[in-house]
Amino acid sequence: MPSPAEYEPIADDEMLYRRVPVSKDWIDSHGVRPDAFEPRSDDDTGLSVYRARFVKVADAARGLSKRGYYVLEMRAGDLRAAGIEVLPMPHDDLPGHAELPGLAFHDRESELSMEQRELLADRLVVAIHGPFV
Amino acid sequence: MNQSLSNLNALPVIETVLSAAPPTAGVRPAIDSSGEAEGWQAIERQIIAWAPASGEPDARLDEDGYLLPSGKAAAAALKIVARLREAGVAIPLRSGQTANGGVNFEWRRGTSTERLTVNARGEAELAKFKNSKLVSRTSVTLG
Repeated sequence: MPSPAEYEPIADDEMLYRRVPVSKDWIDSHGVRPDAFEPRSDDDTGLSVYRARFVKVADAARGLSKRGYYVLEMRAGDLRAAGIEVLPMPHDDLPGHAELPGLAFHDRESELSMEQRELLADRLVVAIHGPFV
Repeated sequence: MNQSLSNLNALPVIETVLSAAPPTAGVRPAIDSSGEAEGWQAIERQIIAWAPASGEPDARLDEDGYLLPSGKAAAAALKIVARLREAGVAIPLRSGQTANGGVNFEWRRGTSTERLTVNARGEAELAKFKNSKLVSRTSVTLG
């Protein structure tokens, strides 16, 4: 069960993690591809990220892929300054779950969604961790 | 000479290349440098590897729940590669899978990006960004 603190608003200076499978080749020598921020069909209310104040980077990288994962790190205030909203959305799987509601699956082909993905990939990732296998 | 897709004037070129009727049988492809030819061949091999094998369902999820490229997406992407190579277009900086069963190609120069995406339905769209801002998006119909 999520702790009450996980429901608290996300401060501008909080760091956020986004897990990206190595197998997709969305991280390369040129940087991050916007596809790393494209919502899947189960991202119905927004794209998942994790708050660094609740989860270690290695824990944010856990998943089923045999080739492992990168973890992208972003600053909440940078996202907001770029017009990208981030909201706490605690769930039971891993502490610190949050979502970018502008990147919900149903809206993935909108111009706003395309532009937010481009901004995230080009400008808003402050560190790439991993790969963690 | 390779047609760069890295400036504003390139957009009409790629649309023209892809919407024009394919060359008739026996027409020689444009003369291409060996490096460019190898680059396009590598992209073709990659797309073929992503496509569903015979007997596999068209909609396949990977272990993370991402849709792998569909047969329609792979077929359209291969057609696009053939057209662009024949027209002497420079190989993209990147090509890869989308999260939802598609394939895309990306060209960059400075702060300009052009991304040609084929979705799982096999539909193609060319999007142009400047300083990470969307400048235009155009549906591309393969002639």
